[in-house]
Amino acid sequence: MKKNRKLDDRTTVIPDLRGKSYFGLFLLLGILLLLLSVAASISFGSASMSLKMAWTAIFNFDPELTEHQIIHALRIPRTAADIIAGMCLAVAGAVMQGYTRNPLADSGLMGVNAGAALAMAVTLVFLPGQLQTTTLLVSFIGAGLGAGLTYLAASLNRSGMTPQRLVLAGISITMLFGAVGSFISLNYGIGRALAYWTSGSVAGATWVEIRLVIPWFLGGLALSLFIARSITVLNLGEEIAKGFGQRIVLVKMIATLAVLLLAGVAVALVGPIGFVGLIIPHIMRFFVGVDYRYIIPASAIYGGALMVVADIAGRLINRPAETALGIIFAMIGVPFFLLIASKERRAFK
Amino acid sequence: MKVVKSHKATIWILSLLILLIAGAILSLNMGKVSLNPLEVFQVLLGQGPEEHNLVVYKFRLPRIVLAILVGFGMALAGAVMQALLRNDLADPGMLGISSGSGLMVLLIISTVSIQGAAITLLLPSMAFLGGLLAAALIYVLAYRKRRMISSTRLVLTGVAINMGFSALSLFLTLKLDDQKYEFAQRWQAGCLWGDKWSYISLLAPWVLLLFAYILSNFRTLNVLVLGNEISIGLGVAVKKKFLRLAIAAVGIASGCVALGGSIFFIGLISPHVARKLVGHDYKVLLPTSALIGALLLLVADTIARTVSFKSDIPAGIIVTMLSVPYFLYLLMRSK
Repeated sequence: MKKNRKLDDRTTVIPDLRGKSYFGLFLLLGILLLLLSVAASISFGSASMSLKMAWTAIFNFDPELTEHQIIHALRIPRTAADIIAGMCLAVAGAVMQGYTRNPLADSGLMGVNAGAALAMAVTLVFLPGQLQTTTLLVSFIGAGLGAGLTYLAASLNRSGMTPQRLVLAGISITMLFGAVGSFISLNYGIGRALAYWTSGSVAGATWVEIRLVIPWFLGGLALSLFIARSITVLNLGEEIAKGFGQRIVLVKMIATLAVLLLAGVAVALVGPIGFVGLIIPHIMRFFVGVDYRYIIPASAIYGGALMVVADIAGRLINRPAETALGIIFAMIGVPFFLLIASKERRAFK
Repeated sequence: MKVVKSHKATIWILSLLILLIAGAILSLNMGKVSLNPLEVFQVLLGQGPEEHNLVVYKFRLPRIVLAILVGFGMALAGAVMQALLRNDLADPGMLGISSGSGLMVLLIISTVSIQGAAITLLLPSMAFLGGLLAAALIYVLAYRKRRMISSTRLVLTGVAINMGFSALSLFLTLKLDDQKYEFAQRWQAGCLWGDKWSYISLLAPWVLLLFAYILSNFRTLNVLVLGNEISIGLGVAVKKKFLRLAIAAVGIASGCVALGGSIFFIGLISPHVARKLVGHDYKVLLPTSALIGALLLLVADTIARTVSFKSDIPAGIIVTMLSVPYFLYLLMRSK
């Protein structure tokens, strides 16, 4: 009985599941949440600022004031990095889950983060003190390598790619890259530097970095929105998608490119953080239905908001020390993973 | 037909045993201080010079024995877990048992100093406790009332537990000072650090006793692989046996992790290779995979010991790098 209902959900209702006005309201709520968290993020910190101060620092910048300097040089880039990384991870997760039809797809589980982390280890050792452009490029390449290998290992099989196989392939690639990474870090004594980077932090975000990633970020976001409709159709199954006259290979290629761009940007900005891309799309599907034209923008907004909130929490939990974002998300993400895994048990049979 | 088969298995087990002994002797000759076979032989007969005695008895031999024991135990634990979960891809590392032990070890090193006598017993026993804790947690989370535990569910739960423990470990790791950090990193990467006779005299009886217990239950394992319903039909008290064997497997794995660090993949790969060699009968499969595991870790550790990198590279890293490609190959071929 339950099975039938689920099937109906997927096949009959492609476009407006809950109505445009409802979606608009939901998105508006998200934007409100995002703005609130941004305000909080700028005014909270080791030196608390009033919102008014933050406001004047942004719109009436006075270089003479230390507070304005702090806000301008530290708080704003940090918050911007949060928003960009959160949006990237959430959208990348949504796209990945959509086109692989895998409820457990996430950049942390699919080798993307491990690849980028290994690339970062290589950079730290062999190309120390490089320009941020190089670092960004290297982590892109690493992310691509990790995702490519995972995807290849999971799909090169007569019976095709199953969610379970993808998870196992992702974990083994992660372990392999992790082993090579610890080999390098033990051999060259960069363990701690790498551990800090791996744990995920936006504390060091600068304007230069933000400016550097923005074009890639916008490009990835635009690509995702551009193929949102195709992903919705693809999510119904390849046969149906073919029936709609969709060019599956092209869509998948664009989707992969978008995921790599977005995950690469996020990893370069904050380090390899898992679970954001897993959690947000699931919650969005619950609220806005199965249409990726709604899921993707909603994921972007709420992903950005979640990341800002998590960063504030990281600053507050263990004052004056900061708790790494990777740890906060793992604490939220693991129970969530268990929940999804138990709900989607049918998919693993 | 059956006779021929068991004959073949005996030959395999015997040749693996000989290979292992030969490997151990070869490994004894290799290292940063080079000893030729004659010198090693002299030491073993008790006629070597003091310096050589020290190298062999204090440094090389315990490390070799430990590598063999840990590999043996991990592979055995893997073989049992694969039978219990009816999943070829089960492994103590992947199921979060290693990271449970790891977390406990980290907890100890971050609160207590790593030198001192108390640590000798504290570290392995806490690692053991951590492994049991992880296993219990997986069981509780995967348990459903009045339903048999599905193996996929156990594996996915294990993956989740693994990620959670790793995050907690990371949290603790970031607070360590440099010296402790390096110890922790080596430990997590699977470094055979417990190479002292005092540790080995604890681990060896533990592994061998549990091995004997598990081997005496080979019939149960053979039946359990067929599935719960069939096992019940054949008169096996599934729940009781399942629990006992699971505790035994976790016991071995945690003991090995305690002294050898988180060594992944040995428990996964060895039973696979063993199945290819001797088939599916657990009576021969158990000793064969244990021997393969021992051999694998001995080779990896000998490489780690003799190839000179800038720093000591844990054997676990070498095992992972050697066996992931093979695992991916298995994954591609699995149904």
